Amino acid sequence: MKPIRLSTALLTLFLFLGGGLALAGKADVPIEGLPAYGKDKPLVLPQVVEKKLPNGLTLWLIERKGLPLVSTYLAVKGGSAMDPRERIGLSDILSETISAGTKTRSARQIAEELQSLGADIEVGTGKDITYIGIDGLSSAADKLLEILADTARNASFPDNEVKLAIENKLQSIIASKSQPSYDLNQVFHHRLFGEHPYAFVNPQPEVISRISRPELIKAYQQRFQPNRAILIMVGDLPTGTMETLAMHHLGDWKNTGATPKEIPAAPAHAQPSLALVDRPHSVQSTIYVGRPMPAAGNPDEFSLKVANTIFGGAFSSRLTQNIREDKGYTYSPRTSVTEWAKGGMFRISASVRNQVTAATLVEIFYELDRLATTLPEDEELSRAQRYLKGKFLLANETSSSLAATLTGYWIDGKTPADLARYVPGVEAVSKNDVLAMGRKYLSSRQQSIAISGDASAIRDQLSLFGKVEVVQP
Amino acid sequence: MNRLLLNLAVLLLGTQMASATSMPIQTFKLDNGLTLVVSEDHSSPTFGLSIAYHVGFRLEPRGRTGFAHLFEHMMFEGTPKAPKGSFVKIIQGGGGSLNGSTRYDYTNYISTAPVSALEPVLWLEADRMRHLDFSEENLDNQRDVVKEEIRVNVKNKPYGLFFWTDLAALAFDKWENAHDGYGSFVDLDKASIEDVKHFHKTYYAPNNAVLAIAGDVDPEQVYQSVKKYFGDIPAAQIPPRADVTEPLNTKERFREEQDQHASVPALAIGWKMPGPDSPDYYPLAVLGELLLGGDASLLHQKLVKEKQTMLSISGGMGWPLGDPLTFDGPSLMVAFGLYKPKHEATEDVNSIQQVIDDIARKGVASKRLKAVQTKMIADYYKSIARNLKRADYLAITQLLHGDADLLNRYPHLIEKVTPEDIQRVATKYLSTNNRSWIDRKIAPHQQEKQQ
Repeated sequence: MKPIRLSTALLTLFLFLGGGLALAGKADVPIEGLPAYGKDKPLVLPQVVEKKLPNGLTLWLIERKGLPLVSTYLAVKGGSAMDPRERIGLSDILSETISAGTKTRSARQIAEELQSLGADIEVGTGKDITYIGIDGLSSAADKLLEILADTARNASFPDNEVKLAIENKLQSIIASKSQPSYDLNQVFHHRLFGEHPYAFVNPQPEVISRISRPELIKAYQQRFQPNRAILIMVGDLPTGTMETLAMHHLGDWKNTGATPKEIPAAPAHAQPSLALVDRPHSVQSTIYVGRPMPAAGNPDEFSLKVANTIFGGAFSSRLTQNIREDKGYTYSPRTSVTEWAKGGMFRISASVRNQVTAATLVEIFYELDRLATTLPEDEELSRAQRYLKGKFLLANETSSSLAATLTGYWIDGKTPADLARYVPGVEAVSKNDVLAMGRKYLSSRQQSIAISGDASAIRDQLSLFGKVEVVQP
Repeated sequence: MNRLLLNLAVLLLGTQMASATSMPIQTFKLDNGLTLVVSEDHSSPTFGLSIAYHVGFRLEPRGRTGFAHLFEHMMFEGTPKAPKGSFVKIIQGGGGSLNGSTRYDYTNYISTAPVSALEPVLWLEADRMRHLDFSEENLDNQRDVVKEEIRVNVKNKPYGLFFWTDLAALAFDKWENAHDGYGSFVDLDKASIEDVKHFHKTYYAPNNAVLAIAGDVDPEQVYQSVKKYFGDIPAAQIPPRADVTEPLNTKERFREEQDQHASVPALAIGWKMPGPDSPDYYPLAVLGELLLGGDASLLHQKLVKEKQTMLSISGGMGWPLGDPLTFDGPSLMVAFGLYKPKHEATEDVNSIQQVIDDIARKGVASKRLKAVQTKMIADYYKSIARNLKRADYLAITQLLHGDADLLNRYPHLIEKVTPEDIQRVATKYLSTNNRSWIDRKIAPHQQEKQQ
């Protein structure tokens, strides 16, 4: 997985445009006058210096000359899936408070000091990871690493900051509940993962309000230990300097010896069902279709990426072309295959007007089953492969994005050498591999469906597909 | 390492922040009036491309709100030569991605990919500048897609972008500045194929556009290709631009709204800002960052951390649809946030005004100002680290100001702002009289749910 970029803005704005595409399956007529692609330039991979400090801290260091910037991540094993069963949501408060004060700095001092260094701090959690990231001017690397180490080692969880974080979280839960996808997301995860820790995405307000400072400190001390951590630095600085700085600020960091309980593997088999979350007055239905998938490191990784790209992972994919460009049912359908340390998820999402809820499902099933029964066109396959390879290049264009990629690699159990396996991995996928992925994972009968919408307006349409369970989140 | 980066590095590694940077910028002009801007950078085998047309919400026809944006969608619907879908297929098949967006003063089409895809992308951009597939079917289809987009972003969503559309409608008087750029469904339904043809002919001409490319390219070679593909597209007679300037407001404006979906109330304040030709423009940009930029900002510290009456506060000059580099006319300084129930929004608006009045009276500590400037300049470098963003800024600044080199002066324009400037512009612009604000309350059926 990729670390989730936390954003202070509650709302993001997409005033964005369209993509079109010719009918998939129709033979492509060459466009008169259109020049061909040029030759690909050879891929230049970054040189990663891998080290381990005596206390067990792993270092991955990359010098990238260019803009005078440096990006660093300090990531540890253990994220939201490690929250105690009776304290689900603890990680949310933990990530809000780690940079809210240390033994020697107040929250405001941290914020102002970073601002004066041109830097941002980002503390985040994923299902299996907690991380602190700082991006700033490379000329200030020493100071930036000092602050990073201070938050990783000496966070003090001041009472007033913990109280404020809990209060704000309670309000933001109330605010998020009005988003159509909020309850839906929870219902969908429960359908896929049952009672496994991966199933819990929305913390309960009554649980959040009970979180205490000692619980935060305990989780912090369990997770933040050098032998459970990695420091990744990418930027305009010699790796030797990076190593010296790491040794200086983190070399005497001690392990606490605490060993948190590891989480079990998540369910990976499909259990199809049809759930409806009633949202009276809704003018749209938000549709989720999907299933649990294998964990990171499974042998189908590249075949799945290519199959998903052909199906719905890009603008030029079959599903977008069908339900957006051809039918105009939806603004932006999305599909994704996500992998975590202990499990994975395939998900299609689309928001459509009430009247075409059933019609959209029909098209989704058609495209899923087409992928599971017929071979893709040569041109579809090569386009998907080029798309993924280009995306890989573009995704690692800057220091900060490369640092984020590598952080995701580490938590998934990959190594820097996997950077070199990406392009050949994508290129090796055949049309038969894509068909096999369709049969193995993607046919419509294997999918769970969850929909948020106005039950009085859409329930009748949905009953065509089987028993509709109206569920409370 | 190329010259640009070397220079930046040398300048920034000193204790002083950079001012006179020198990103390599080469500008070419074709006979038909198309301007090409190229910034060469060989650090990644990719390119970013932006083609910006000098038409946005402000210039769309009356009775056709939302038309500039609907038209933007039509640009992806194919041409007589390259059928619907070709563009996306070719750019994604070339390993890249693309997007378009409509803003107040321009509409831009951006793409990024490995450099092997540059030639076909240039050809495709020229092709859709030359002609489109003006079919009823495409228009109907995109009208539906745009309506879904508005349902997703406005009608079915808490807050529904009121801090953009409703706030602009309240604060501004001229139709060009005040109307809803997303458009009404009634107006969208009225749009005809004739409108589409006319708009393309009037505004989508080489002399009303700038093409910019940043990345692993040779400027002279790019120029030759651009001449080959765009050179014979005829120039058009561009209509004179309307005067969109407005004086500051002399009396506070207020509006209360009810949100059908939100469960936490919100407020949004807008102060009218001058256009970029004003000497107060960059001081106002810095003031916006001082007040609203991130966790260290004065309003976050006061309202979220100290008083604890607001859940969040964000904004800035030109927010949320742009930044100081992307306007060619008046904008708003916007502060938007969610406030905690059980107190009145007026209290927060008063607290916000107190912070501002404090600056107006006492000024700002130079250390604080320096930190804000350092952060703005560092953020600027972080943003242009991507070829795509760099190309987009080049196209927009060349288009709006005839001056892509503004990007090289931008850090200096930020850096030279003094505490006196901040004090002066806070007094002049962020006054109660020039303030418009909306209290966005939650609907009764949402309140019941929470009880």
